[in-house]
Amino acid sequence: MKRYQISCALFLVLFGIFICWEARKLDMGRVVKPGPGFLPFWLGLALIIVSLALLFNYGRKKIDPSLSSQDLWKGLHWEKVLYSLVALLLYALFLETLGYILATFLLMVFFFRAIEPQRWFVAISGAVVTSFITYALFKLWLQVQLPVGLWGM
Amino acid sequence: MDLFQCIYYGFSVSLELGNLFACFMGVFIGTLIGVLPGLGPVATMSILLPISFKMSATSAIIMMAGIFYGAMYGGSTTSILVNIPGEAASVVTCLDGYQMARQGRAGPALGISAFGSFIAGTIGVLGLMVLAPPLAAVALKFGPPEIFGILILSFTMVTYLASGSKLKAVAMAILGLILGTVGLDPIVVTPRFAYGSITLMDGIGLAPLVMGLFGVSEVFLNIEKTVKQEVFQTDLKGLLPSKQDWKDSGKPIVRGGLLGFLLGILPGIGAIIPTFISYALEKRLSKHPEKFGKGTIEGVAGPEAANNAATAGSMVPLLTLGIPPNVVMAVLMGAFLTHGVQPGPLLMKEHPEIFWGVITSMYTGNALLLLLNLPLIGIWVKLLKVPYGILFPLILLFCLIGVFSVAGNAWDIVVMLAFAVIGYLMKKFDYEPAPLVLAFVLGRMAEESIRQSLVLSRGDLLVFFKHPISCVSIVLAFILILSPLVRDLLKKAIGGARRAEG
Repeated sequence: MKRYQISCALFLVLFGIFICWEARKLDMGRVVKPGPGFLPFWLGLALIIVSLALLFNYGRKKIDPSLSSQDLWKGLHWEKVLYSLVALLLYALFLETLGYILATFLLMVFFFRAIEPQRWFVAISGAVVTSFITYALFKLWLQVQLPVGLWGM
Repeated sequence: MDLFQCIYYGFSVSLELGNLFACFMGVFIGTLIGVLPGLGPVATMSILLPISFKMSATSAIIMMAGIFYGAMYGGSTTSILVNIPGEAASVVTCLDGYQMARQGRAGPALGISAFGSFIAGTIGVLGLMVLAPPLAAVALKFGPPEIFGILILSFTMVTYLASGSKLKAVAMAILGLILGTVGLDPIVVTPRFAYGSITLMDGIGLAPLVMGLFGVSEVFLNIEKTVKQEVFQTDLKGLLPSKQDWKDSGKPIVRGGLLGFLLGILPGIGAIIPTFISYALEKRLSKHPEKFGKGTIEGVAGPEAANNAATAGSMVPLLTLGIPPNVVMAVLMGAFLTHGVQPGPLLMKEHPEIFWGVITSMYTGNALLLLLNLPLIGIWVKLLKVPYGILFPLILLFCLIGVFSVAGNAWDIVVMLAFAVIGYLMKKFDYEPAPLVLAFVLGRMAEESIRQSLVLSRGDLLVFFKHPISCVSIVLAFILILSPLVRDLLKKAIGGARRAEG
């Protein structure tokens, strides 16, 4: 647990350094007439200081007592999160090529079948119903823009 | 116009058929997502943001506000029947509400939380009506230095009141400020941190940020553990509380309502903390504190009243100063801005139909909720039996549609997913998302106000101390940071809130 917290704070320090580095490339201006890089630079610096303070606290073993010392992912199906994330990313990338209905159908079949397994019949029919009903609801009724894709759907 | 004319005018707006329907949809959806675990008002309001483009600004805001207080009603139902709070603001209701259900008194518990919410909602709306106009009049005289001072105080309170580590909350607030600088610089329009991406050039959108942090990440956290729910089988007849119940809970409702409203105004408080304070207060005032936690009706009535009145209280700073005090109000502000309406001191003059329409609609909405909830509780309970395996793909799909339709840009989905991962990890490592989101929203305002102030004062850094309101705010912020005594006192008062809010 402590290891996680330390790597987290370290990441924040590095992120702060990155922000300062990038902000230096912009016009900093002066204190009395700040430019676009002014605020990001000081914010980056503040982040570094606060994260170092966090690290310092961890060094003195001042860890929140409410946190359990257990592994954060122990006994959990974290692979489901990973699969879902990949599926959602693929959805984002192919949404405009496949069109809303087809992309949504595929995504829903995957979710219904792979994450919390339902029977095939339930998964397929559920996916068909979901994609068509949401299409009707959002596109036809509420006139929200949804991508049509290569096949005009 | 005097107050009564204004209220009359407000009702004439909010009772228009279209606005009434929007109000109904808002409270209906609000109750629905309040009942369903894993989808809160923040994510829902962002999902519906693009849909509200087609509505008038008044209808859209009325609907959005309805979702917020509707969710407070819905959240209590699951707390009482399943011992799972549908909303974080209903955590306390579990303590006595669930015990009442186990003793076969689920009906009165649900009934008193509905009536209590209604009464407290009324208190809140009345307070809003009385308090908002004079505050807006004062705020009209505010310039950039005053706004900056109040923003500094808001930042301080938001991180101060965060649950868990203060340092982590500060780090998250800074991160939110940094994220807010992505996109075009507000004064000289230079792109910052955009790296040639058109999506980032526009700045990070509030919708993908919020939906990622509060919607998708919540689903991620739920699917990795197998969620099992058991609805408590109980006789739901006799929802009307008895005479004795009313006698017991009358005062707690009024106290909870006042407390919720007043605390809700303050930045960083939201609807959750008042419920804990109300519970603690009722326990202290009670003649039989030992009965708390064992199914006493005061323990349901007070907190349920407090969370409802807090929703009205938190509207005050948004409608009068244009500063959102919590994340839900930040999303509501997004709804205002997408309709080209700037919430703030001018709102009452420039858009009286929105100002008074929304306020009175909250009253109509509370009445609708009472009608909607008492007869329909059976249906809400059935909803709880829908397995999560069916529910979560739908929640994700709504997030996808919502975020895509904001700008018709599939890259916004990628931004949302990035924040979903960040939100998931933040929850794991015990970092809070609320300071990040608020700082993200307020950051732009703060940067503008600080730079405008410096331009106006020709670079005089002391300008913030020459204006009384900004000076007082900044000094207050410093007192808040420095005084460990105040901190200890507050810590005691909200002792329970710190654990359960996260």
